[in-house]
Amino acid sequence: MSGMTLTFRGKAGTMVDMSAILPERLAGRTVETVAGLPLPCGGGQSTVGDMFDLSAGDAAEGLLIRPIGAVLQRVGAGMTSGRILVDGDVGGHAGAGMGGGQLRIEGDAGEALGGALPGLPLGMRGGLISVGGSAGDRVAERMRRGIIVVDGAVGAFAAGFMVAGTLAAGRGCGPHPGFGMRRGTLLLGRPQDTAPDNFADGGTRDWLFLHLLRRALQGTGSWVERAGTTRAHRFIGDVAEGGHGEILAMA
Amino acid sequence: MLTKLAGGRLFDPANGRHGEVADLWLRDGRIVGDPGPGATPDAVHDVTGKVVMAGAIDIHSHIAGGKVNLARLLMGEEHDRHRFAGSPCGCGGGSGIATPSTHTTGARYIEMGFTAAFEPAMLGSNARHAHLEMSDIPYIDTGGYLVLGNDDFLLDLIATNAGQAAVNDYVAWMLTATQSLAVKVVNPGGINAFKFNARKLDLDEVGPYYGVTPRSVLTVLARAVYELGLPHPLHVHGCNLGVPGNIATTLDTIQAASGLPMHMTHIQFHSYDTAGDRKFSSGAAALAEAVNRTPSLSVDIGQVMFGQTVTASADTMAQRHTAPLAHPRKWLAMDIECDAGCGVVPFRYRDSSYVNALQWAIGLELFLLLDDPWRVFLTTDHPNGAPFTFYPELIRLLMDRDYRLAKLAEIHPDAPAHTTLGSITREYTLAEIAIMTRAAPARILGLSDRGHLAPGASADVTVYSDLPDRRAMFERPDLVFKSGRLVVRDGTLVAMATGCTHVIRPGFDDLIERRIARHFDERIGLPIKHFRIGDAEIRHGAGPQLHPCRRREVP
Repeated sequence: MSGMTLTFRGKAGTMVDMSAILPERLAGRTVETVAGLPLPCGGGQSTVGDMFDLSAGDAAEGLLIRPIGAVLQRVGAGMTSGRILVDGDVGGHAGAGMGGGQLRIEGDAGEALGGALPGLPLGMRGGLISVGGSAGDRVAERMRRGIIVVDGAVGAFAAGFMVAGTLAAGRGCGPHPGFGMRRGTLLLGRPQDTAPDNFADGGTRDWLFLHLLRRALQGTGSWVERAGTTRAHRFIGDVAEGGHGEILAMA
Repeated sequence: MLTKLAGGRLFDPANGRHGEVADLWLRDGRIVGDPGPGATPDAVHDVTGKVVMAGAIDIHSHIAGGKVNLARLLMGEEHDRHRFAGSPCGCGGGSGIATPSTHTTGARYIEMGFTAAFEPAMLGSNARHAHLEMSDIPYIDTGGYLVLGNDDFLLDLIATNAGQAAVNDYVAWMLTATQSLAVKVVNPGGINAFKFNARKLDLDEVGPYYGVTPRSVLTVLARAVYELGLPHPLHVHGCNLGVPGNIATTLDTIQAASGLPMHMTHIQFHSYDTAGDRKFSSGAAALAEAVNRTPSLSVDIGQVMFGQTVTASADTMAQRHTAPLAHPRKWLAMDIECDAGCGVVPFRYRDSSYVNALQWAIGLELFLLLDDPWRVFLTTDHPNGAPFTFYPELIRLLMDRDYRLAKLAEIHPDAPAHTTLGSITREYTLAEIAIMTRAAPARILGLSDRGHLAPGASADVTVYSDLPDRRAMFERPDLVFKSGRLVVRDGTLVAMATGCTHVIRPGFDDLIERRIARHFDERIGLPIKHFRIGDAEIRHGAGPQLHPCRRREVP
C-alpha cells in the first residue's frame, strides 16, 4: 500500500479511540498535520503523533495501521470511503456505522464489529469488512447494508436486530444468532443441527445467492471464496419480527 | 475558618430581608452572627453592590436512579458528543447534557449557584441504586422522594379496607427502609392498571385488578403523609399527563385532596384544554385560579424549553402515548419489580411546532398567573421539559417582559392566540426569585437550616453580579460557597465539596414489619433485610442528614 502507515508506539494495552482516523478525513494531509490531530486515549486526550509513528504517504491511497499491543476501539467507525488495513487485532465497534469503503483486519476483532455506536439506531450501512481472525459478540448488530466476512468464529447475538445486509462467519457463531433479525443473511461456514430460537426450518438446497456472494468477495481471500459448495441449510426468522431474515448454514 | 462577605445586598426572604446591605459571616460550614470588632476573618470577600442569596434548591429534578441511568444508556450518542474534562479541583468531569453523569450533574448545578437538588421519583426497589448514584454527585445536597401508589402491598391494603393506620405504618416503614425524604405518587393506580392492559385510567375509574380508583389512592396517601406529620405534602404526578383536556382531571384532583396539603408537580403537563381547531389549548388560567384560592396546595411547573431532551418517567401509560413522537426515533419502557414502571422517550421541543410552542407558553403563563411565590417552584422537571441548565434562561423570561414578548413573537404563529401570555405584564422581582428558588423549597421540604442566611444555617451562599441580563447573571455567579467552602469563582469550579443526603424517619408500629416481611418472602423473593438500606450505605458511609417530622400547618 502506498498510503499512510500508523505504527503504535505507546504502552501496550492503551485504549485508543480511532473513530477520527478515517481515510477520507486524512486524505491530502501531510504527516505533520496528521500527527497534530487530537486523539482520545486511555481516558484522556493525546495526539496522533504521540501515539503513532507515521510514515509519509497519502491516506487517500489507504491507511495501514499496526496496533502492536494497543487496544484500538472504533477503527473505521463511520467510514464512508477509502481503505483501512489493520495488521493485527482491533477492539470493539470496528466499522460501526460504516457507510462505505473497505476495512480489512488481519487479526481478531472485538464486539459490535460493523454494529451500532452507543445510542444510535443503525449499524453498518455499506461497504465491506473482512476479518482474518475471529470476532466478538453482537457482530453486525442493527446492520442495514454491506458485507461483513469473518474467517473465524463470531460470538453471541450475531446479526442481532439486523435490518439487511450480509454477515458470513467461517467457523460458526455463539448463542442467539439472528435475535430480532428483520431481513438480511447470516451465513455460517459449518452445519447447524437445530434451528436457532425463533427461527423456522427452511430445508437444505443449493443457493444461487452463494454464487453471487462468492463473486462479490473475489480477491478478498476470505473463506467464502474457498468454500467448495453452495449447498446450505436455511433457517428463516426472527419470526417475532416478521421472519424475513435468514441463517444459512453450509451443509 | 472564618469568612466575611462584606457589603453585599442580602436577598433572604425567609428572614424578611429584600436587598438590605449587610455583612455576612461564615464559620466552619455555618452562617454566624457578626463576631464583633475583635474578629480576624481568614478570608474577606468584598461583595459591595452584589446580590447575595442562599444556595438555590431544586425540588424536582431526575438526577439519580434506575430510569435516569436507562435514559443515559438510551441517549448514548449524547455522551459521545458532549464530554467534559475533569477540573484540577477534583471534579472528574463526565458527559451528557439532558442525562448528565453524576459528576457533571453536580458541576452544572453548583456552577449556577444551586446547592441542593432532589430526586423526585425513587422507587423502593431502585432506592439503593439511587442512593449510590446520589453519593457520587459532588457539591450538592440530595434526597429522594419515594414513589408509592402502584405497589401491590399498598393497593392490597386499600382494596381490603385494611384501614388508614395500616397504610400509615406501611408508608412510614417504606420511607425508613429506603432512606427517603418525602412521598410521591405517580399516576395513582394507573401504572398498575397498565399491567392489566388498561391504557387509560381516569380519576374516578375503577382499576382492573384491585378495583381501586386513583382518587382513593390519592386521598389515602395524602392522609398518610398528613397524619405521619411529614413536612413535605404528598408530591402528586396526577392522571392523564400530557392528554389534551386533562385540565378537568387536574381540577378534580385538587378537589380530591379535600383540604389535605398536596404538592402538584410539573403542572404544565396537566394544564391542557381542548379549545380551538387543533383541540389543544391552554388551561393555565383556570388552574392558576384554583391554585391561588387553595392555600393548602403548592405546585411546580415543569417548564418546557426548546431543544433536544429526553423524557424519563415512571408513568408507563403516559410514555407509551408519547412514544410515537420520539425524536430520535427510539424509546424504552419496562416494568420495575412489579412495583412501578418506567418509560424513557427522547424528545425535541420545537418552537415551530404548535403544540410545543403552546406548552412553552402554558408553563410561563402558570408562573406568571400564580400569585404566591411561596407556593410555586422553578422546575423544568429535568430532563422532561428541558435540562436544568436552562434555568437561567427561564429566570430571564420571568423577570424581563420585553424579552418574553420577543420570544413569544418567534414561536409558531397560531400559538399566541390560544394563551394569555402576551397580555400578562408581571415581571418577577429578585426577591420573588429568591423565595421561589431558596426560601420556599427549603420550607416545603422541612429543611430548617437551608435556603436562608440567618445564623445557624448551613453556609451555602451564592453571590451574583446584579446584571440587567438576568440570564447572564444567574448563569455565572461570582462566588458560590458550599458548607462554607468557596467552590465556584466567576462561574468556574475552584474546589471540591460534597453535600449530604436528607432523610426523614417517621415512627411506625413494628407489627407492620412482619406483614411486609411475609409479602417480601411470598411475592418478591428478596428477604426484607436486603431491601432495607443502612445508614452506612449513604454518602460513602457518612450517613444521612435526619430531619424531624414536623408538620407545617397550612393557614
